[in-house]
Amino acid sequence: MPSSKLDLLQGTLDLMVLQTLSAMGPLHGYGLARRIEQVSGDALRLNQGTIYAALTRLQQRDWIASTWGISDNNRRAKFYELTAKGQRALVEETSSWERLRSVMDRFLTVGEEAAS
Amino acid sequence: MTAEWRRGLRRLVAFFRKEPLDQELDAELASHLEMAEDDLMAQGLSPEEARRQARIDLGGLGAVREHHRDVRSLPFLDTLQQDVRLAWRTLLRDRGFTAVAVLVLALSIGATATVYSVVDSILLEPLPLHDPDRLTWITNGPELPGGGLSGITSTSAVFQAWRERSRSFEAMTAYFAFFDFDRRELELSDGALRLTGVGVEKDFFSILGVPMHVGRSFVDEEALEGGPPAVILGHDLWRERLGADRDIIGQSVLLDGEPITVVGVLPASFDFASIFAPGSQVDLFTALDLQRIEPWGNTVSVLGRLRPGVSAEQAHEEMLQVTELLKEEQPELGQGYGAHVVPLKEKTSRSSRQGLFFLLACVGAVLAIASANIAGLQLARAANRRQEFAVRTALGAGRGRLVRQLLTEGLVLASVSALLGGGLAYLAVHVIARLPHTSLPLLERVSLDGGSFLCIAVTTLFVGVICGLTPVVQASFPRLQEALRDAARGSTGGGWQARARSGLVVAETALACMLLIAASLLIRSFSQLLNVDLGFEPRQALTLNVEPDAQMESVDEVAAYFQRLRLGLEQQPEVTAVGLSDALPLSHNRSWQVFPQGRVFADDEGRPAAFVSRVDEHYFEAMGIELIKGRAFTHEEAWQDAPSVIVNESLVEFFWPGEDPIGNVITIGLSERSILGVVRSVHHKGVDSATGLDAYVPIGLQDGSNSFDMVIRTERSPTQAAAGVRGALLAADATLPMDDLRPLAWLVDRAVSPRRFVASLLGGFALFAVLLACLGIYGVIAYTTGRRSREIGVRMALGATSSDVQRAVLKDTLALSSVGVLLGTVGGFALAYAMRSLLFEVAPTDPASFVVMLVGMVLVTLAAGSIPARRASRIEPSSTLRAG
Repeated sequence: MPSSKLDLLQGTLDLMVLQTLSAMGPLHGYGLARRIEQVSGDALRLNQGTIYAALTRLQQRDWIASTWGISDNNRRAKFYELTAKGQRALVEETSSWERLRSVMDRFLTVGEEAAS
Repeated sequence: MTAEWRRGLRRLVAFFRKEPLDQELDAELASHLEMAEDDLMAQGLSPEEARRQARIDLGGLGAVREHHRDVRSLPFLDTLQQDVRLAWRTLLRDRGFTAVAVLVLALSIGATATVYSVVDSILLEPLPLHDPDRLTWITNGPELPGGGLSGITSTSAVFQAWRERSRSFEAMTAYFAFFDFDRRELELSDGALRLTGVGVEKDFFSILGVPMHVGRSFVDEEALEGGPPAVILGHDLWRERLGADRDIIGQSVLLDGEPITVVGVLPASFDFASIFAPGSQVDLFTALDLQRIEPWGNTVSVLGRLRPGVSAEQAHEEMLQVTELLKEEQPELGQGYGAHVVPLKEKTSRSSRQGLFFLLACVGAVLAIASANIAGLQLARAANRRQEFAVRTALGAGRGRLVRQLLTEGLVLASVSALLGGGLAYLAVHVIARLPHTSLPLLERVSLDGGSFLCIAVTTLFVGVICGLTPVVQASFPRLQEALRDAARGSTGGGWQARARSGLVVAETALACMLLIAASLLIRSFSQLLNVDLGFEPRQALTLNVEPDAQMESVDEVAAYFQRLRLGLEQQPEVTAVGLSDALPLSHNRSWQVFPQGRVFADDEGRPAAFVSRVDEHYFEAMGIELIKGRAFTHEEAWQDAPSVIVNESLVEFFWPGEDPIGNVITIGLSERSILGVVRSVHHKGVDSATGLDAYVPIGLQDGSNSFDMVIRTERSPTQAAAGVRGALLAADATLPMDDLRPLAWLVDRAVSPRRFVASLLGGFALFAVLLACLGIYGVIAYTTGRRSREIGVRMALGATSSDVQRAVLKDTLALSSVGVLLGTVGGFALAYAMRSLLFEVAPTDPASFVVMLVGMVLVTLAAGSIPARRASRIEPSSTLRAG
């Protein structure tokens, strides 16, 4: 059912934010939200506001740091960038995501085989 | 994991930084919206359309903020804060209630914490010694209430034999028990100090496990005759009089005119007097020469450290066997000699244990009354607040949320009270620890410590939960409409609730009655104690401890010195007599074996002992001890140690009942003396213990002690006469230290101090309890009459007079209080029976105490009820009817 949008799984948004910051360098909240929407196409149902909760969580873990700066179109905005700790966390989170995905894949494949 | 810890900490910090964090988020969201609007307008939307769309994409500002806060901080803290804030506002709104509740709870929490701290420090906490559970107190027989020190001390030879032979003890040590017969004079650069010193066995401190603050303990040769003299100083003396000078170690000071080396200073945590001689002060310690004191008889108090795994009972059994063998070898010890081993802790707490646990139980009752009281008030308030709760429920507050709110209110109330109560307890404990001359062991150690704070926390929680949940337990959330309707109609409230309140008040009254009876019994005991005929007249006399210069070699010189002091005093018009003794009653006690000349005592008869004092010719006159037969010493007899003795009635009664004893000869101590006179018996050991045999020997008898108590009888009160006496004495001897000049009654004060301590505390508790019970009764009656004002109005409109109304209200009051008093009387009997060992010359069924309680309680409660009764009788029928 391609028409229905996906709800975000717990924790996935945090990983998307980390990955986006790692790929794009420092970004403000709005930029991050736009970027995640673009990458995911229309598949995700994202309240842009939830980005800020994710950013707070990550910042409280010292995985990202923030500074106020000026955006491309001359607006004052708060920019976030990955810290060294965040870089390490991204590696770990990615690998654990990969493991989870492979488990889910296997699980669902086995399920299909059993069903067929 | 560390990242999560970090986050937890940040969330906690964020709780306290709401304002700046909110502002920052708002700024960030504003910039987000501006950028989103820019982009949307670039896509061709109108400004209004862009504004709207940007907000939709964001997901609603309010929701974003809420979500952000939950993630950023700790949501339950926020709810708690809200609850506390709301509770605080509610309490502030009802100031009258809050003030009363806080006062009542603070007083009871404070009292509980204070008594707990006293009990904890005196009874529960281990002694401030190393592994104190293994320390025991070893005596030559069980400690008897009226017995002298000689009955429980041992000879130095027996001590050494015990130490060698017993297998139960890892180590045994001793101290010289009669230390307070002598004062020691320490010379400092700024004058001489009169101090009390104790001779201790050389390993005393290491066996007890008291490390030196500075310096070292005694070494072997310091305890031997001719060895280097050494002294260990008490911490207070060192700190207060020697400026805490660490370099004092190794220095030589002059003690009684002889140079002696300071080898150590005790730690502040060890106070010899508070453990072994409560109510007195001990400043310095010398090494005890066990050989020298051997001929002096029973003089040492013995302490033993049990081997691991050996109980005091086992040690006791073994010591009995050891002593039996010892007696076979040394028949001169006498058959009465035994051994008795008790844990040291038991010895120190024995005198106070019952009284203190009793106090603790009573303060618990006070706390219960106070909680019941506040719970009752809360019930009344809850009835008034039913509407508030109903409205809040209607607006969507869940039952759980309301319960939490009430609980928070109770806990906030209790916490505020606990803060105040903790402050009160701090002050009270401070006062108690410094109570002057109170002979309760370890009293100086009383302080607020971890245990006290735990006690405060637990009582606070208890009180908070009771106060908070009472209104919940009652049918507080019945069907909504009913509550709303009920409140509007102004009926007396649910029957269940009224019964609950009445029940609380009855329980309070009953408990208060019981406390009142207990207090009354104890106070009557105390006044009986003060009325005891001591055998001497403690009022209108001063005492002063005098030690003539040690340089005075002969008795004649000492006699002449005292003659000079006496002549000076007798020039004062208010001085009527001046006497001397070396052992005043209620302070020193020393007993010697005594028996009529030629009479042999069978072994199983025991050997009678008499309290012995050396006295001069004016002593009986100065003390107000009545001479019944014969005469006192003459000046020559007293100072030349004539072979005479003066005895008390009990001694005559014991040996020669009904005979005239004058001229009979008794053997006492090491000499034979003929009886010169008979005097009244004196309470030597304690005011509440029986009198024993007394023997007065001439003051000229040499026994090595050079310390005398001068008794100065005056015509005026001792405080008025003190200045004149002081002047006269200083005129006779300008160097005479005057620190010890005090009323003779001081000795009695100190002797009765433990009872006074318990009686006065309990008296205070009982008064407080009665006050609380009155408050409770007043609350219930005032509340019910208030709710019934319409009914009363109707009655008055139908012709009831105001006195009818008053009578009706008072009848309700009486009904409540009489049920409480009845229950209280029954409880009071039980309590009085349980506490009968604390009573003195008062029966547990003492009618006066019960009648006073009964009448007092009913009168007081009627007074409490009369206020609402009068208010009810002034109700205007027309206005109450119209108000309905």
